[in-house]
Amino acid sequence: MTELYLKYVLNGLTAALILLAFFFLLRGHLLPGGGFVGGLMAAAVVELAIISQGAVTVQRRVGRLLLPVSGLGLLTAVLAIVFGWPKSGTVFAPVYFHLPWLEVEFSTALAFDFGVFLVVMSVTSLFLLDLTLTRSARLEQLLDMEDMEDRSVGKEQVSPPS
Amino acid sequence: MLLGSLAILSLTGLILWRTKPETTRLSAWFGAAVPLAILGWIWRRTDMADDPYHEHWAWLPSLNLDLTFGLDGLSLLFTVIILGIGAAVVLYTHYYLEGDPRQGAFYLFLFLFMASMLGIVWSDNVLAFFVFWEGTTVTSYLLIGHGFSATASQRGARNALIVTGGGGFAMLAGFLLLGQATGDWTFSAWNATPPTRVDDTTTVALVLILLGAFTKSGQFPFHFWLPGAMAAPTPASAYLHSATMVKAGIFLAARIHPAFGDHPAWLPALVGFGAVTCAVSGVLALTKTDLKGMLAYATLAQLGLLFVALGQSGKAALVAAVVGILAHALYKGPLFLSAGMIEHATGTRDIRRLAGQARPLWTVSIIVVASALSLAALPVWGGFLSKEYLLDSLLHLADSAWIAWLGLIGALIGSTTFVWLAIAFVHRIFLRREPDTAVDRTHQLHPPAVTMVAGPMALAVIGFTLPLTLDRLFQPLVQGAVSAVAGEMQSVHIHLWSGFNAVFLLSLAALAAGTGLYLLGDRALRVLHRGVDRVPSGDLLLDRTLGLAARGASWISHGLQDLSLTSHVSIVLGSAVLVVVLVANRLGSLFNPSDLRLVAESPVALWLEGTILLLSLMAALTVLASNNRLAPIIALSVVGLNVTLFFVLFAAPDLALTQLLVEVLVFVLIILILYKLPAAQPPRLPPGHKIRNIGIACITGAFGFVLVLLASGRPRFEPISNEMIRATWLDAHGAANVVNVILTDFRGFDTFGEMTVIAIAGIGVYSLVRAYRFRPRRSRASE
Repeated sequence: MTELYLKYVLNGLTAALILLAFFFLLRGHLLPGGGFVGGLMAAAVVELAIISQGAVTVQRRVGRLLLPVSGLGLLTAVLAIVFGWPKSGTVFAPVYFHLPWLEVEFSTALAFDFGVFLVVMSVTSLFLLDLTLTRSARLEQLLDMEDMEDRSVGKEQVSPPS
Repeated sequence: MLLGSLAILSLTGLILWRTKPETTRLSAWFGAAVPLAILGWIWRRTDMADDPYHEHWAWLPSLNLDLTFGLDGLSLLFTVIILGIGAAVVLYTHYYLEGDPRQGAFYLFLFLFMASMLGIVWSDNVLAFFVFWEGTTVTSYLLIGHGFSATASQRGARNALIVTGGGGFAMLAGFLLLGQATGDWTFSAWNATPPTRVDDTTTVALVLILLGAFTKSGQFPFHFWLPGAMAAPTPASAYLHSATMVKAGIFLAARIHPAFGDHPAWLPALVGFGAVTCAVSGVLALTKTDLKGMLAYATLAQLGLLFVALGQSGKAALVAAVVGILAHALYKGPLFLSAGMIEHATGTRDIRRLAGQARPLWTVSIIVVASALSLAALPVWGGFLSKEYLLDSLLHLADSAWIAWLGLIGALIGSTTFVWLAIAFVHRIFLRREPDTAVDRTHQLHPPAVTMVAGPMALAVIGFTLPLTLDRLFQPLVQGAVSAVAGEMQSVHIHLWSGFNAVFLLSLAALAAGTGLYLLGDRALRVLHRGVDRVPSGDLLLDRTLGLAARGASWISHGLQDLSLTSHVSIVLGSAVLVVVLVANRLGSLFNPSDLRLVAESPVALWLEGTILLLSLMAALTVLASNNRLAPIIALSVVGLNVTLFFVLFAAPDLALTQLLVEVLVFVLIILILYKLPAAQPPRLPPGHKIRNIGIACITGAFGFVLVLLASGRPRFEPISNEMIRATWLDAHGAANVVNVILTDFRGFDTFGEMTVIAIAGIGVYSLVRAYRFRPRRSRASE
């Protein structure tokens, strides 16, 4: 279902959505937005790619990254939680950074929000991608390229979704 | 020191697990050296005369759970048994599980069990005691399940887990009752100030605690799990089921003896159950032909005798209990290990197939004979001493309490069967020429290695020389233990020979009866067999109960979860409504109709809200009216977008953004999935289902409406949001978005939990959707 018009707007829209996602993430502490909204926005990028280029292409490009990224998000959140521990003796202690050449103030809360962002983005994308990937022959071929040793046995197991 | 010992033992188990102990015999020696070293360390550091050794580590003080370890005489007695016999068993295991690749895992569980068992005897805090108690339950489950015959060991392991685990929970309930009633959570506090008042709480607590002790020690009617657990590898049987774990119940009874010894229920419960167990298991032992089965029932009978002893308060009875614990560990352990060696050497454990092994297995025969002397209670070995003191105490008690007669009869029946067993072991395995049934000639006789014999031999020698050492080397140990059980200092000196009196006559009678029974031969036993076979065993009853439970569970789950998604959803929604309707009375009091008012800030707002409502209504009706797949989804999406508009109107931009994004993503996703579905129409529902669905939908909708109505009434409490807004302005460095501050700061832990849930859900979807990829690999592996 690759639509022609989508191909033309894809690049522009993708860039805009990614920028928008980070925009929402960064301004979350002050104005409506935050890691959750930003993460959903970033997942929308993946969805856009799925409907314009097909799930198989997206799977080949980012499919293997999604689960590791969600783990990275959890790790980021944990690090943000314990960052202030040595100094203040309690978890979730806020720490602020003033970067002289930037107007924006960075904090552990923002890092935590970034963890939320990563988890929401990757897991939502994973849902979207895995639920749209079907057991088509094309997919089988793709997966077989991922693990070559299974090719001979894998073919006969393919059955249409019931 | 004590906590460190537990850590060292667990660490040893881990080391043995990882280093493939089956490949080198060094590992067995190393494993045996560790418990002995710890035993020596503890022995040196304890001074029995002074205050008992004590150490305290806070664990969860808010739950009254602390690691309070103490070493009094009773703990020290058990420590010696656990570590001493443990060392022998560890050494023996290496040869019993020759070349078994899972030997490492067995060692790991064995050492963890050892640590848990030591935790039991050292813990002063009752909750920590329970933790270690269940630790032995779990590790023993793993050890029993290690056996060679998969089904038998699984069944044995499961039954042992259910019986002892269930008893453990009863014991915990008893601890909690007593702890809340007294406010103390340590045995020492309970023992120092025994509950003087006999009220219902104390009695119920005592019954529950004793239930834990009786199940753990396999007392009638819970006696069936121990013979079932004989499917375990022999080292586990020898260690867990003769020397240590089954003695945990005895230990518990001894531990709370100072507190409850005077309770009116104490004497009848312990003496009654102990005597019945002793008689029943003793007789059942005669009907067995498996060496380990015979020993298991004899163990139960011996444990019954120990309970009979602990039920009384006199010094003689307590001496009988303490000497009995020591002697039993020293003779039953070697007997179990010998049974294992005989099986290892001849390939069978069936006493009918064994004969004339005195010459080929002469080392084993020495061990068995030395231990059988104590089993048969021949003067002056350990079993005899313990029984003399017990019978003496019972005879004195018989003047005042009728239950003592029951104890006396049980003890005599038990002793008679012990004599029979001892003679049977020595005569049938070693002395007689021909077995009862044909022998499997194919098995190459495989005499045990010297090092395999070393452990049991050492135990048997200590047991054999016990009459000489009991009043010298072991005197402080016995005296300390008796004092601890009595709750006050006692001076104990054991006389090997107390004269030619009534007690001795009773012992002689038991000896004669046992010998006579054996001489009568199998004819007497055949009658017994026929009687025993008629009674259904507890094993079978438990199996049937479990089968019923499984069938009930599958009936419920099939009733609730058939394959239709519609009925799934209806059940979920219906139960949600039901639960809230049940508490509706309390909600109703929060609701005041006068709070409801129609508010519109301006005519424009009213007009906007009205339009959105109308749109939503139309979209909802479209869902009902359409009969293809695409239209309802688009219509539902319209409803969702209208909700977004409502959020905008009521100044909730965060919610509006999230709602909008979720709507868009889900809509596109469903369209993509629809695209892949086959074009066939869904089947028509039967009319009954349609009516049911309409009913549930209406009720759920009405319910949601009422809930929102209630929630939008005037708040009865000051909303927490005011405080959060204040805190955000003051503390959050000028952050203005309260929603975000709540998510990342105030409720940071909640958010983190939700993130984890989302990530786990992602892994779930990933593995479910792509599971078929792994199928080829699995099928190839199974070929």
